[in-house]
Amino acid sequence: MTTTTYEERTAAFKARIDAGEKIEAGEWMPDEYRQALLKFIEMHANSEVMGCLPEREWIPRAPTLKRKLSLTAKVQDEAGHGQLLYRVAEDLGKSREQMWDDLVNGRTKFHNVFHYPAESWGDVAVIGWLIDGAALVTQRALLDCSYLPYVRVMRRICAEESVHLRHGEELTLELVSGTPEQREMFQDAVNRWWRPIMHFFGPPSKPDKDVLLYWGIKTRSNEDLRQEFFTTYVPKLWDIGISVPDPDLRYDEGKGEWIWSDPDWDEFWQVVRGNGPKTKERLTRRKEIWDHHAWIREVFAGIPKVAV
Amino acid sequence: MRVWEVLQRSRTGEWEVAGAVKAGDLEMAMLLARETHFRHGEAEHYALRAKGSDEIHEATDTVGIGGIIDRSYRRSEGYAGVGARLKQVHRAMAERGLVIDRPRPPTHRPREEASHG
Amino acid sequence: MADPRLDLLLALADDELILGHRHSEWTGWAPHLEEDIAFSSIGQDEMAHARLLYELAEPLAGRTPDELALGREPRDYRNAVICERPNGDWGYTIARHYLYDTADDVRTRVLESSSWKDLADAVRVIRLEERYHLEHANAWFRRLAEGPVTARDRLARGLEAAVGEALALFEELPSEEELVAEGLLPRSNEEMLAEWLAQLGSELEEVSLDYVLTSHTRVGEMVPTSSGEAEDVVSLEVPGIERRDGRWVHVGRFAGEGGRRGRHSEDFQPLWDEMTMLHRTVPGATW
Repeated sequence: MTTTTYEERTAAFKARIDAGEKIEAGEWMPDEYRQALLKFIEMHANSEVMGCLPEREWIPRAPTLKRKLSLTAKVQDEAGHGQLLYRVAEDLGKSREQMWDDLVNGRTKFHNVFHYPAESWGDVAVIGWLIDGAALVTQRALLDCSYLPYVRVMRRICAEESVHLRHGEELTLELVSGTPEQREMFQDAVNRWWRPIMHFFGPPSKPDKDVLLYWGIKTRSNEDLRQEFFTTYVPKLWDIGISVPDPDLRYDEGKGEWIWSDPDWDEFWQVVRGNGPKTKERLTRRKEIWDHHAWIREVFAGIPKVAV
Repeated sequence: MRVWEVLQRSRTGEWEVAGAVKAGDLEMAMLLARETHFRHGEAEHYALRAKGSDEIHEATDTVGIGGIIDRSYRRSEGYAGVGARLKQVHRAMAERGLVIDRPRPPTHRPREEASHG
Repeated sequence: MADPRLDLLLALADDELILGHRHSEWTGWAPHLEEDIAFSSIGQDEMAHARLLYELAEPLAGRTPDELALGREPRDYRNAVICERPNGDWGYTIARHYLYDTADDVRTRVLESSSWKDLADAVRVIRLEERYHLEHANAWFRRLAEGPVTARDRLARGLEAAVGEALALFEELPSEEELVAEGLLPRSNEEMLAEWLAQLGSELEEVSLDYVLTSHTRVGEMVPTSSGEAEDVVSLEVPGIERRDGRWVHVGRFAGEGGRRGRHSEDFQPLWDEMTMLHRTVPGATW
């Protein structure tokens, strides 16, 4: 009796991935694939629900009815993305209740950008345009993921994010072409958010050591995605007279790539490990609401109706 | 708590899975499915099927699904003209000498325009 | 406010705006993910209905919907006090949602026959969307009332806190006499209240929660804490609700009265400060 059966199956699975084949729900998969995939999707789901929180602070403060409605709808969509993603993750083998419990107790991670405050309406524009823009770059790349249930959800997410992006762009254009105070509000927000956005794409990784690239869960490198972000958004920012606070950022025509300052990665690691400016406050509130409302989960638990 | 698959009609008329919701019972699942999966007007006819079961329960009251009064803020047509506005603002900034004129990639066709449907 | 139609429009629109504002405070935080999404739609619907009604008010008030929604002084808002109360926990939220939407069902059904066609038409469309709100509220009401011990208790406490002030949704409007005489308001608030209260009373009796009509807590912020205790529980008799000849009726005054004349609770100022701050502090700006 040899131990090659699992290895053989895994090798065959890897060969399918490399050939561009896609995996459906319910198919056999190696444990390493399942674990890497689950962790990745769980973090994505966590990020969507935590991503609601910076912007939702401005729903009560939105300056017009249209913006109040569109911001509410945008945050609603993000909660919706979380709902869709947790479902995909659940089918891989972890309950949503356990994932939520892990999140609110600080045991699992979510994207760095959602650990920061939204200080002004300028931040709301930056989040709606540049952060959603960055997310859309990475999410479009995920349309090529090897796991089909995730791809299906990504299609819906990308479609909804495209509307968010237009909302963000509209907010930006109003500020930039508005009063000097409004222009300053937007520039100030860009100055504060630039480094977290650079961090968002992750450190330049070594493709041959990247587990997610190995399994076709991700298909493009962090640096590749960051370059796409620069190409899409930096010229637009410059065209509307907004500067980027990286003095070294430039497009090198010879190399055909953007050169940029390597940011402080210590801050990135501190933040994703739970020490961001707003991490504790947001998780504490989520946990309070989760713990306090255990009675709602009881309602859904199928306890027989009482006689009234 | 159960998982209820949310179904909508495919182009060929069969029920296909659009997603799923978690709820304690069918009636609550029906209410929640309406807003979680159809608030953007994706479909008017939907159904639920408890995960693991074969029985399909069709939604009977779908009046107002997706909204009746103005919901353009939730749809891309509510932002028609944003691209044109960007060009207009660019021109205005250029007139004021505020454009940052530095080397940039040869063509930076905004990719997000490609996905609007 | 020369035109009596404004007294009617602003009461309706401000109720929807302020309650929609409160509902949307759950967006991103709601205790069940699917419910976060569903309840957010309800909040958006309310604010969209407010916008529709402000559009009707625009020619009468000479102010745009945004100016009406975000540009008035606190004393000029005509919402009932119940709409401005903080969300508290999900028990209060559902209790208020149920009380408001059942009351709104009564008044919008009446307004469908308003002599003012534009309003009747707007209300007809609003009612098509409000159907979902009622279904949702009733679904939660039943599940909590007939559910686990804690759930029923949470609903009961929410109802105790909300029901007194809910009656003031039917507080008499300024210009009411004229509005009724001209058929703009086909039935008086007192008549609509009688209908709603009788219906509410019998629904509560069906689930043995009618006792909330004879006791209520002082409404302060019911802050959810991990112990689950609501703060500041004080028993007061409910002004205005009595049982006579087997029916629940309104007698005398209202808890939280004054909303229709711009007199609000201590919860309105902080809400107003937050809601109107940006609109007010950068004058001349478009957003």
